[in-house]
Amino acid sequence: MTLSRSNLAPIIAQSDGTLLLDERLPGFAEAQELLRAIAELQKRPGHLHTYHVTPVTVWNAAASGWTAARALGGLRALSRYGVPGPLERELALQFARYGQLRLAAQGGELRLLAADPAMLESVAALRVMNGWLRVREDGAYAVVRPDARGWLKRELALAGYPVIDEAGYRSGQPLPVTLRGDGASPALRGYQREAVDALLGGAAAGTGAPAGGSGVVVLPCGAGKTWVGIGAIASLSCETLILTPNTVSVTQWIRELRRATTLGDEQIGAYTGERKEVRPVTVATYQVLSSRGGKRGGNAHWPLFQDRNWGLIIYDEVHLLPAPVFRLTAELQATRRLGLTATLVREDGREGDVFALVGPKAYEAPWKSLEEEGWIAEAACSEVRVPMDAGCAERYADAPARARSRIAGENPRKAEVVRALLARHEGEQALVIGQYLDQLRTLSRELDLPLVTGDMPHGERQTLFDRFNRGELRALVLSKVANFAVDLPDAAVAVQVSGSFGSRQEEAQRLGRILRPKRDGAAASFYSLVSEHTDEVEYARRRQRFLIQQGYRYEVRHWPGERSERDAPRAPAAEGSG
Amino acid sequence: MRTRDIVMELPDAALSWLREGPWTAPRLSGGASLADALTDPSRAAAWVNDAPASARDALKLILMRFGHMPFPEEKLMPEGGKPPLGWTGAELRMAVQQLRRDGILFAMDRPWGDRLLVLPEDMFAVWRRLLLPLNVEPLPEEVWMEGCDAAASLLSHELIAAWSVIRGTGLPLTSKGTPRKQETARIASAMRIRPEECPVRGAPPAWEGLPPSADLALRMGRAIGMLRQRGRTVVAEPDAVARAWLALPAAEAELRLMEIAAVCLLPAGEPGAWLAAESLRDLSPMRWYRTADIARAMPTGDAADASAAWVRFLLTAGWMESGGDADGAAVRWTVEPSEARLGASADGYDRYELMPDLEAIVPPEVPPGIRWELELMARRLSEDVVAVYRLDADACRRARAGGLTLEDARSLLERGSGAPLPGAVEIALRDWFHEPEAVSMGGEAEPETGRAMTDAAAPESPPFASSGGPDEDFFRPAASAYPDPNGQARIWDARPPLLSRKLYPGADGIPQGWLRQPAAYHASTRRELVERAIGWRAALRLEREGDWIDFAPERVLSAEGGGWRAWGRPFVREAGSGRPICAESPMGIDAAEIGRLMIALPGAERESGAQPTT
Repeated sequence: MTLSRSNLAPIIAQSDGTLLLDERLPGFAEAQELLRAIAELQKRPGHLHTYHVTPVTVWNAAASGWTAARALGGLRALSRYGVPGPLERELALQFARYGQLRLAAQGGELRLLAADPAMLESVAALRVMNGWLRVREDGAYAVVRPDARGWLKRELALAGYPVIDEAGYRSGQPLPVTLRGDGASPALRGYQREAVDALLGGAAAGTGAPAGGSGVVVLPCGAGKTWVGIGAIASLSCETLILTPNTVSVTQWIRELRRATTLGDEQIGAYTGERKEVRPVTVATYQVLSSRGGKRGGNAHWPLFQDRNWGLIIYDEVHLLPAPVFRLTAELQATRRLGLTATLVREDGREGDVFALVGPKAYEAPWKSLEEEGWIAEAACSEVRVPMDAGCAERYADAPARARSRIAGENPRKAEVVRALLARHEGEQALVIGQYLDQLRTLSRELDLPLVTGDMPHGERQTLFDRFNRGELRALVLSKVANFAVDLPDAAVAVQVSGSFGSRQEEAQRLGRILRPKRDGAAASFYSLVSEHTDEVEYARRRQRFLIQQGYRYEVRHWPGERSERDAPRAPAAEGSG
Repeated sequence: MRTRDIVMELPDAALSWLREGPWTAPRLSGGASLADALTDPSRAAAWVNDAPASARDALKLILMRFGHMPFPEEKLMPEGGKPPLGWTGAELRMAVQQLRRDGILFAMDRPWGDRLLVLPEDMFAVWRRLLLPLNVEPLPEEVWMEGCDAAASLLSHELIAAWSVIRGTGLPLTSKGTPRKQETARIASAMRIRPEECPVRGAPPAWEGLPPSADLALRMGRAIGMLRQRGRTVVAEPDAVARAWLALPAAEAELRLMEIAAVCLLPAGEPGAWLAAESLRDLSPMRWYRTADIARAMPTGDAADASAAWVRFLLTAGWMESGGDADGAAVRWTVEPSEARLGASADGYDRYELMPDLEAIVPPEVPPGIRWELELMARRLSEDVVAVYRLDADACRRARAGGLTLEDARSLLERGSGAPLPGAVEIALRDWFHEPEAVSMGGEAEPETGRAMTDAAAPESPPFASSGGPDEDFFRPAASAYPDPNGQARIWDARPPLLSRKLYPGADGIPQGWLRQPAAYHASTRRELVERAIGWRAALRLEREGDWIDFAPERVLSAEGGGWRAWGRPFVREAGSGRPICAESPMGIDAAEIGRLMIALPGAERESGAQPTT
């Protein structure tokens, strides 16, 4: 066994770069500061926080002025079992790699410069660099094809060679815009301001500084990511393209821009399937940009990117960024980019592309920290186990495995639970969210609640949301259209009746619908209905993992009677035995 | 053989003189049993301080040449050439008698008449540490090794994972008594170990083709008592010895495992390998040592040669890690290899952290028994400085099918974590240990893993039922962790040690003056003295050209003119210890050159009560 160096040191450093931090031990605060600098937080389900060191986190630390000696010295001093050799080596290697390669605009061309000419040669020899680089005969630098700037950085990052991009960003077309703060209460909350500053560094309007300006901000749902985007627009004062997952979100961005900034209506445009307004600040959907059929590059809407002098592109819910938009993004490296998300977990595992093409994570605020500070609502999460009646149970048992999830998800007895929960939360605005349209239609009919689905025309959908926000509707039934970017700030109760298998991201996003702080400071209530003794139980457990790792706790209740697992007496030995 | 086993087999006559020996009697009078007295490390340390140099050196020679393997006495004696450590054969014979008297060496007679001397294997490490310590300087603490590979997972962790696979379903054997390939592959795949580094030694025929890591798991499992054969199945059922091992603190358990690995894996007939394995344990943990320095410091050339192979295994077992810099390769222990230092590194972090996301963070100090229990219900996600497990529905259902109740599961996890269960864990356990009968959808809810176990128990080869065939066939050829020399019945020599000239055949029949005082003799008598000394491999004290010298004769050669000459090595005795320091080259002394002389027979001076006057 690895010999313990210091029993009270709060960090356990692992060879694979995982760093466990025990918040109960002395030195926690110092260790936390160190780990925040050189690693990224992965989870904090209890008193053990899990961080991970990656090349990207080390490069970020190096960019902030950290050195290998300082990082290793800190780790050695604070690690219970010392620092494993491979981790020491990796840290030293990655710190040394940072700063070796630089992209610069010199002599009217884009140049890749290397501290060590040998490195330039080995980089140029990489097969993926084919055609992008031309090393000068004297080996002083390599000339980079201008349109390869993004791809070059991505491929070199993947190969372990970070490139400091000093080629600068274009300022974009200037756009005078300010936030409508009233002085007494600043327009941006502290953490939102920190996020904007972390992103832009010294690149605010008028400074002319080339550095800073691209990255990802990770904030919980309901914490006001839109405001971070708006803050960035105001700081840079430039024309901006905003990309969002759907038209509802487009509407909400436009509404927030109008409300929070000095921009006039004529300066804000929507670029969707229905409207094609290209204005100084344009809000578009990923879908419309991904659609094919145009003359150039097979994409009809490519000109939206190229033909306007954008100074900033904002990617809302960047974890949903589709592949075609990634490709377009790679060619827009001269434009500053901001990614916004609550969960930097991509189901397709392409987080690395987000780093290279949109930018590294610039800022993250843990969910529970913001809850403790009152910036998002406290949420009580419950899983309600709902039995199936005999007929349904029989159908479930006879069904092939692939059909079971749906039968469990659509368990008709969930309707009575929804009814009871809405009754319990009388006076609070509620959302009933589900996966299966048949189930949602039935619930809508039985509970006499309006149903919002993806098929509903945008205007009609927005009307229902507006009525809900005005308090005219007590509850809405929502399909998965509600997973993202639906802003219903007064919703205080969410009842999830079904979901897509074990998607952690979906669970977090749905909880996010009710996390806006309530006017009366009340807590939100999130219920996940799960058919008892079915596969749905395990799917639910998997769905909940992300939130549990963020520090949330689920209480499991049983319907009918809602006996809580926590309340239940310990079973005698016979119960549950095999 | 271990001391305790030997003591149990010794005849009463032998026990009687052993109990009266100067190094045992005082301890026995203090209430210790004979076996306890003989294995007491403090007795060993005192003996090394006070015993005659010849006895100490004889024991050193035994350690270097034979380790704890039985050996014939004559193999200890010099066969021409410069005597090792200088002692004459006669002195070594006497030293052997002293070692017998002091309960350090035991003699056994084999049926065909020859004799073997045995150093108990449990004392090999103790004597080696006292007499042949490895003196190597570690590198300064601040030296940082480049190219350090990730330390492998500790062997105990990998073995427990492999044995857990066997616990789940057993390891069924075919009618030929061999395991199926896919079953052994499953065991191997549960282990995160580099198979190319697993030493495979003397595998029985039934193990042919086994992946090396599975071979290691089976070999070690049998040796430690975790595995046994039941009919046509190998099962994981810890016996009392294994249960005791599981209960040990992690550091001590790892140390025990290391000792058992040595027994299982080191070639019995290569004392150099044993010496190397033992010597490495002198190195301090978590300090880097150059491999070249280690090899140089090994007590013998064979040990130096063998050390590299054992280091490779130690690296595979996660007990060492390697690194290097421009000046060469280096290694360091990641565990405490010395029992004597164990106490200092125990620190009480012997529980895992059970988290609300169903993951258990298992520090290295967690005893193997706790891991063994956790493996029942959890799946290992990663293994590094700490291991991460996640409670797993399938594993829990399998455990339930195997008879584990919800209450068992709770108490097992609470015991392992030392804390009440997090709510999410409690809920998950309730789900997974739910009675299938209570499930509304009938028989379909029977856990599949439960069925799998039932299927495995079905018709063709009932895993947990005896087939009527002889048990343990699968293991027998490899089962001997403590090999019985030559597999013969042992007849222990009960005769008391001879500490007088009676030890040397014919010594009673010669004039006593030959042994007591140098004197001038006729040429033919001088020759007889020389030949007697050669026969006993004893030294001569002789006068040559007016000077007195000590001379170890090796043979008598014919000289010109019909004369003869003694061929051998002159030596001087080291002040204090009396250890002979021999000349590098042998020389001849003509018969005519030899003046007064006597035979220096060990023990003779003790009987005469006087030192020769020379």
